[in-house]
Amino acid sequence: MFRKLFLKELREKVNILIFFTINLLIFALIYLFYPRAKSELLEYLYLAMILVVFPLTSVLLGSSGFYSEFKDDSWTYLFSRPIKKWKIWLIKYLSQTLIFLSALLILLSTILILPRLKVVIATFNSSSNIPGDSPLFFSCLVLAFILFTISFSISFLYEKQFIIIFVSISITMGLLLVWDRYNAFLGRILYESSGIEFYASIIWLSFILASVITFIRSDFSQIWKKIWKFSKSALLFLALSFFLLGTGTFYLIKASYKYLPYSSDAYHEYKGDLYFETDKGIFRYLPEKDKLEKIIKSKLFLPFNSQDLYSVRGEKIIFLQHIDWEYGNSELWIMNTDGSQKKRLIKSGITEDSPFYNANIYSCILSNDGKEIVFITRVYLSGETYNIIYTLWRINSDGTGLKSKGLRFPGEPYFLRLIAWSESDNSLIFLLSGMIPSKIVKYDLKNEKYKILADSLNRPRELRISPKQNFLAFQYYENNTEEQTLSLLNLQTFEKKEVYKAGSIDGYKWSKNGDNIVFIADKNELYVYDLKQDKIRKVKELTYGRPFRRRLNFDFILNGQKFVVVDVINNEPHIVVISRQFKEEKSIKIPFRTKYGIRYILGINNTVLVENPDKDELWLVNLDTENWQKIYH
Amino acid sequence: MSEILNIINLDKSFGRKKVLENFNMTLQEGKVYGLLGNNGEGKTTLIRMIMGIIPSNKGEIFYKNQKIEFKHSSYKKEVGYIPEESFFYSWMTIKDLLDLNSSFYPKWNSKKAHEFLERFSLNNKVRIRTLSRGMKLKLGLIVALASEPELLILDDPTSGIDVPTRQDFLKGIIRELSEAGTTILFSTHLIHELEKIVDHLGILHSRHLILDEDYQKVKNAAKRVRITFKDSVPENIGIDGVLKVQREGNIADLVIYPWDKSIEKQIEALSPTRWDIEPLTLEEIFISFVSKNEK
Repeated sequence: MFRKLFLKELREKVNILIFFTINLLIFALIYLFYPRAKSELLEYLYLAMILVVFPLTSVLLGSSGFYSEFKDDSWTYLFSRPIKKWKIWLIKYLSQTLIFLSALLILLSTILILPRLKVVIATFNSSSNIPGDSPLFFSCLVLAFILFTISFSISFLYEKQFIIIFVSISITMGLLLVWDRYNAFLGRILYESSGIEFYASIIWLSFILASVITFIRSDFSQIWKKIWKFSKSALLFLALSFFLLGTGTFYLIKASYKYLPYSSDAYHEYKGDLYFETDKGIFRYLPEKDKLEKIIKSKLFLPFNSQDLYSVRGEKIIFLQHIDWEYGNSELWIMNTDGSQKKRLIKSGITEDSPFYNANIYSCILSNDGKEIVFITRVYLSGETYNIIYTLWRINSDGTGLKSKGLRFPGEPYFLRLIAWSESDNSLIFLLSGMIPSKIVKYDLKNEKYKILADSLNRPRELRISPKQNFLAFQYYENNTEEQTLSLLNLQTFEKKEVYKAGSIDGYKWSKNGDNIVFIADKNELYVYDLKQDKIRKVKELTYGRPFRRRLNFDFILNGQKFVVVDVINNEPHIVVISRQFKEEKSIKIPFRTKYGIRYILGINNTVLVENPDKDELWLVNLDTENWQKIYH
Repeated sequence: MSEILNIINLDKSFGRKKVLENFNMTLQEGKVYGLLGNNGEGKTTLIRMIMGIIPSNKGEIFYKNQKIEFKHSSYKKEVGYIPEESFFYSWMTIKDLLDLNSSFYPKWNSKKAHEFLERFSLNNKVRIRTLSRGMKLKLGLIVALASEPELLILDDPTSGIDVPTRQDFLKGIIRELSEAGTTILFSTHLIHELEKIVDHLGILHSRHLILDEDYQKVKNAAKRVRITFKDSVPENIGIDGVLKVQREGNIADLVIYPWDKSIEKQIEALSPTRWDIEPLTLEEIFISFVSKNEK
């Protein structure tokens, strides 16, 4: 029964597919034989095909769902057969969907077999967008599917097909508008909003559900009652969808903003105090007073790579406050380390006459004395995704003396990141990447010239300047392998040295005096590298597993006199204290367990900060008293 | 004899217009039930509710003592249905239609379908859109009969078709089916059609069945009495069961239901000069009942 009814439906609607295919064939023939020089017409034809013909075919197909029943008045026949109404609906929907997918397949095949067409599509996709910020072609397919679904869902409500078509288009336009505004709202508050499409799909499902329910339960002899029933169900399901969408958005926002900074650069020890930022704001912990202060309330931070966000030096803190993610608008603020004298220095993206119009501020660094700030901005030129203008800015911390300089580097890098400000030789260190082999470049602020310090680096990461600002350490991958190298760059002599090469290097940390680097490599070995002696020594073999791709659960303590590292002893995580003679002095049990182990610790004098990412908590242990204290939750 | 269809307190409205109200009806297995009613009285609405095409507002329908609801469909495997007009998919050929229907009904009898095609001189390959109304009726009948139904519901199918086709349909096929034990619910406003085939009679009027009785009993109990008085017809005749009175000079024509021996005495008591009893046609019975209820 299912098969025969399904075939009957296919036979009824196959004409639409045949006519669409003929249309595509004509289109393909024009493409194959039309002179290449006059390709403008071909572009218009392509646009007409995907913007008009395919969506029109879809809406025609959907709206013809119950055309035969209306035309031949065969409702009585259909409903008096021993077949459940939901099955009738389902068979029709499945058969129509099969035809829709066949039309889509034919469209895609045509595009794939016409190589010249691909070039045209690439041109359009890179420059044209419609609401929802998706490439044109994909958006047209989604649009066609929405039109098909909505028109099918309401096709049994009224006999006049043109009314069904216009109503479907109106509903689709309304929903697209809502979706566009909703995306714009998300864009302003979220950096990453993937996953929200799942909730959005429920919106389209609302029409399907309303359609099935009305079809099963309504009286077909009473049109207005039928329409009213459908409207009620659709509104109910739409309300439910929007509620789910709202709930999903709420949790997405909550999840996006709930984090601890997983980066050694995000925790700053400055004059014995600890500075860190979380979803709730920027905090200062004063160990001597055992006091946690929130110096800035919750703001829109980037939930990763905090180095770009704030810098603590010379009794000052600078930080970026993002206004919205969609256009990358942000503000640069400065304040004292106790949170007093907050001042906004820069505001981007407000008016066209502002020098920061449409500018995305990032990579901000304070000078050692806290009196000057350097930062860079990027501006995307409209329509040209890869055309970006980078500008270097300098400003005094009192807001005066704003200066700018356009940055142009070889190969026009897509990504440009300011790594460090080496004040001793008045230079900046940049990482250039994207579309070109990655480079590390030193930029002289005085003569505004650059020098390439390292070239052709494969996926460089963890770039950190030494405390004395004379060396830059970084990791990179060997070409075509997962093998990594920890490398050092002498910023004075420009000499590059490979410190260690291993199958894996989890991460490294500088000692406070900049004479040593401690790192975990070869899966579970803790090493220390002495820069003066140019010697690597193994500190300890760890039994701890390797749960994270990047693990920074080791550090120096007491000004580099000892090491601390997390290891598992008797199946329990411990902080192990190791002397410079590589002797294990003590192990202190960590009072909590985490799903994937401990990923980050920070040594501050004779205390160690331990992160509990499962609960977003920060703990501090005194290595003498072995007392644990939860300082943030 | 068991009940095949039982309808209890059925209500149906279209907007503010009530079509059926507290409607009750019972169909005995193997009988031909003639449902009479003027156009617009709700016969089609009732049948559509039985067939699950439209929902009722209230009430219950039982098929073989099983309650059937709007969403149910399995009972339709045993119920043949011929609507007032057979609206099939016009683009299909007769073969397509029969083929599609064969998948719906487990007892589908292809041999019977082909026999009837030959009997009605219908060509398998002809598209439905080319068929006349009478031919469509025949095709609808073939579809209904080939499904080997236990209950056949006919909703005024013969209105508007030519007399020979109608006669063939009524006298031939319906009688054959009836004799084979198929229960038939025949709804019509062409009353005389039912006369020779009906076992049970129901008259639908003003949202209710105003008559629901065995046809022979009705036939025997409904009488026309012509009474001739010496002078004028008295104002108050005072006879039980009078459905309708027609006065003409000193003659009164009465339709009486139900007829009873005691009525003879009541007539005699009026001292008529003459009185005669005549049997009634189905049409006359129908008109009498309807006119009484209109009063």
